[in-house]
Amino acid sequence: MSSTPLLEVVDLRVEFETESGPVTAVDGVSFVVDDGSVLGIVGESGSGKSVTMMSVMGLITDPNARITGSIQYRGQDLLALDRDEWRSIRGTEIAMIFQDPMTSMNPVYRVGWQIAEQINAHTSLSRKDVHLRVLELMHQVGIPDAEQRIDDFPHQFSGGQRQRLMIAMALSCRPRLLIADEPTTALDVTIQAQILELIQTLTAETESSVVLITHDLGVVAEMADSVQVMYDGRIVEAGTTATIFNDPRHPYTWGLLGSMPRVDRPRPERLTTIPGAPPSPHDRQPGCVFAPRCVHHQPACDVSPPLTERTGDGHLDACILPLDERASLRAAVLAPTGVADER
Amino acid sequence: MLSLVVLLVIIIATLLAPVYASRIAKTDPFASNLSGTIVINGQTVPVIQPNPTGLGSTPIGPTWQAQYFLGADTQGRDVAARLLYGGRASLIVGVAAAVVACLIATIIGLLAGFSGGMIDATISRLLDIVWAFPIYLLAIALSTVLLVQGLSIGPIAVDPGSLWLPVIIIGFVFVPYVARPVRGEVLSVRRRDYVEAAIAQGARRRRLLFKEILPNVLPSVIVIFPLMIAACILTESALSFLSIGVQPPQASWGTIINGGQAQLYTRPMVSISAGLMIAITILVLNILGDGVRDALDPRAKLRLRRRGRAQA
Amino acid sequence: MIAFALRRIASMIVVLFALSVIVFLIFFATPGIDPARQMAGRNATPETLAAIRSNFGLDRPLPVQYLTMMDRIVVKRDIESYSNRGVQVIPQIIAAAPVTFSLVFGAAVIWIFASIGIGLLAASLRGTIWDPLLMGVSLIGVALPVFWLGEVANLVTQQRFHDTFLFSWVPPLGYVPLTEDPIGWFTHLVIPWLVLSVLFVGFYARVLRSDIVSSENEDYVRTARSKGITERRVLLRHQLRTSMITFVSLFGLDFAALVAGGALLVEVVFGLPGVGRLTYLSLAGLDLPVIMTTVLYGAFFIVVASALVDILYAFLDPRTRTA
Repeated sequence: MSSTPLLEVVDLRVEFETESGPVTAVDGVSFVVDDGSVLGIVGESGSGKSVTMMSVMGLITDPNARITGSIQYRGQDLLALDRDEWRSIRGTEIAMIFQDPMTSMNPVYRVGWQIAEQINAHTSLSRKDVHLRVLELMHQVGIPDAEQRIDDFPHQFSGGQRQRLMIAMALSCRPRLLIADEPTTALDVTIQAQILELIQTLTAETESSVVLITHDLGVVAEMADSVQVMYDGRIVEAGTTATIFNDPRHPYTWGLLGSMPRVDRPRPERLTTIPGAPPSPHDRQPGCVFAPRCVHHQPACDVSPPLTERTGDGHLDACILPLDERASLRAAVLAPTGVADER
Repeated sequence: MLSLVVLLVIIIATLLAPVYASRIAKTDPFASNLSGTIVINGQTVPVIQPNPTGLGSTPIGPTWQAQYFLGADTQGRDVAARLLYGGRASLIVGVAAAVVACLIATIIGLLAGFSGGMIDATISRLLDIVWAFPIYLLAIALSTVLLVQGLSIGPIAVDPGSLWLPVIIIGFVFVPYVARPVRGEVLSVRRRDYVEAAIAQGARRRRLLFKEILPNVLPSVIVIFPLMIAACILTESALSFLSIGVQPPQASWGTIINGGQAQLYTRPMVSISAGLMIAITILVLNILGDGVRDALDPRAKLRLRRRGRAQA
Repeated sequence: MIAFALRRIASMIVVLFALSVIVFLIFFATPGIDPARQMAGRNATPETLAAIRSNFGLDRPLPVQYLTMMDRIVVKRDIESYSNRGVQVIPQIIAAAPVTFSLVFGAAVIWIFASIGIGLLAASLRGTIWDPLLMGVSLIGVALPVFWLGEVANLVTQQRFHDTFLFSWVPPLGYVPLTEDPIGWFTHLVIPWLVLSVLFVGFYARVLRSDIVSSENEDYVRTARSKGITERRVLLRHQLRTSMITFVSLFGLDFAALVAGGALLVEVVFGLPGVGRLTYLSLAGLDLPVIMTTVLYGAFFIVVASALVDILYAFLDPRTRTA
């Protein structure tokens, strides 16, 4: 393992100044993305997962936002860069695809032009070479008749095709890191698998790392090498995909897993739900962010438990429950693993 | 907030116009006073001073004291008093025309949006056509027709000199500017889930209209209202400036500017003061309108787009 | 695209017909109005009234009256003024049109450039004091009555400061055709152009700024930023470009409305013999044939222009093109 990871985020904090006081969207998040790996960030809407990665891209332009901490990209602190230096990393080194392909492309420009714009911003290829590169990309992402369709407008493509075009655009400069923000949420179920597979194969070819933001645990299980679970602006559990799915330690992760139907486990009477609603970021209490909704809540939770590694295998969690008690508590929520379906 | 205070000051000042005219200015703002005199620094000065050349005469300029504060017009009338009375007429016409426009427009918009089908198609097309007309052209056409013989529909008769005439004309002209957004709002409210649910439950049409749709449409009318007043006052002043709005002996800010044209180079204060009053009133109404919009309906920006043309 | 244009032209013809009917109804069928007396102007003789009645078929049914009116205004184009005996209306309008067009065209050039400049500047200076300042000034511009602004401009440039170096070049009020004296044309029109454009600069700058600022939340703007193109390019090629769609459609209608008679107040104040002033002069004598014809021609011009705008709009926004 090389000494400097591809991306290292340390104690990232994003606050927005609003009329009703400051709102903390991301509250001291730290993580690492290694070369060629896929990191899944899981959490419900409003948990700060998108804001975290938008800060990495430098896409938070709201003048009321305050970003602190450090974002090291190959040893270089992005937050210390000026606008132009950051811009030269954005799109070439780190690229991003977004949730809604229907609105992510500018409706008034031809799709080929939009892909070419990114290539032109970072290379000095001739017009003809750019054109060829765009065609090549469109072929790669599986747009049929790319020669004819290069001059079509976004509204002439289906949602799945537009997401393919977004992928072509994002990968046009062979980025080292691809951030995919809920790339399949807005798509038909039948298209979702195709898009995920496309992301997987193309990034494998270029050996790019991927950060996959999603609320869909199935997607994570399929794609990610490691997972971190976010809740209300904090990471509550992180580890390899296998450990998170086989040995989830945080009650919130249990809730997430319990609320997901699975075919490899006995079918429960009913899916579990997490009581209560996600907290409003306006009235943040000290202590564990999940405590107000946690069934195992105890007085000690009011002091925020740090994200700690308890077993020496890189599996971190932010819960004060004794490790040996968790298996039995978990069993109450999740059926034990490894038992065959008795249908 | 400041704009609200300014607006209130203007309204109260114009309401107190009769008090000012009778107690302070001590003149009749509607009767000519060609041979009047006032006392300045102990000297008696005529209101209309004959020119040294012997040709024509010049009204007295601003005295900056109680009587003839802003000077006199060509008829020897107190400009300050006329300004207050004129403001009264301008505000009354502006507000009344805006009420007329919003009232008719709400009814038409509800009717079109709620009935749909042929009725909607016909009304929308008609609104589009009236809307395409330049405001002044339409107002001029209506004014020229109505100013000669007045308006009489059945038992309702409006005298050509009445303030109601500009109110009706301006109100009518602005109907499409309110009716089009209202209709759009009705259509979008109708598509909302809770209204569709009410329809699915078999709610009666009248109940639907008054309990579900009207309360949802009213905020956008309220948002438009102050901006409509501004547009109506501006239109009234322009029509009066063209002498087809408020008719003499009544005065409005527009007629004062029109009258001041003749003495623009000698006594510019007449035109300037009336124009400033219009500008300040419109400005505070626009600020207020933006405030109301932000408070009630932050997403209304799009619907007010046409405001510019309305005031052109 | 061609199908769209044809459909738009078809609907334009329907609107033209409806408009002419509305104009006809206003002048001939307003309740309690005697159209003959209207048209004869003030102090008309009984003979004139009788002549008008037979000329316009006023004793015949309304549809016939409508056809007679349209025949005289559009087909024969021989409608003449009654208070200004025997003067034909159409040639007067044709002579006045270039003046109006010169006025509106110059003002439009100013208002396009100034409002885009101010709107862009305010949007890119968001968060500083300059943004609210520019928008405040624009709001004042929108509040000024244009005829009054014109009078104040006259007061300043024609009289009070006319003898200073600032305005000594300003010629007396009036108009000189471009073909006769291009420099005179320009100097006569500069002040009217500025006065006419003030309202529009203010209004368009505000609309543009608010469109650009709200496009800040659009996904495609975020995408554009994520590509690593310059901020300047994001603003000009993406935010401004999409905001121009509203701008252009508003512009077409406002331009048309001004040419069709909306510039009347400025023409009156600056003594420019355009179509609007023609209408104004006939107001004094209530010279109805002139007013009726200018109103109808103005309305026609607007409808045709708005059809053209829609077709242009389809070019600007590809979504409407194939829809």
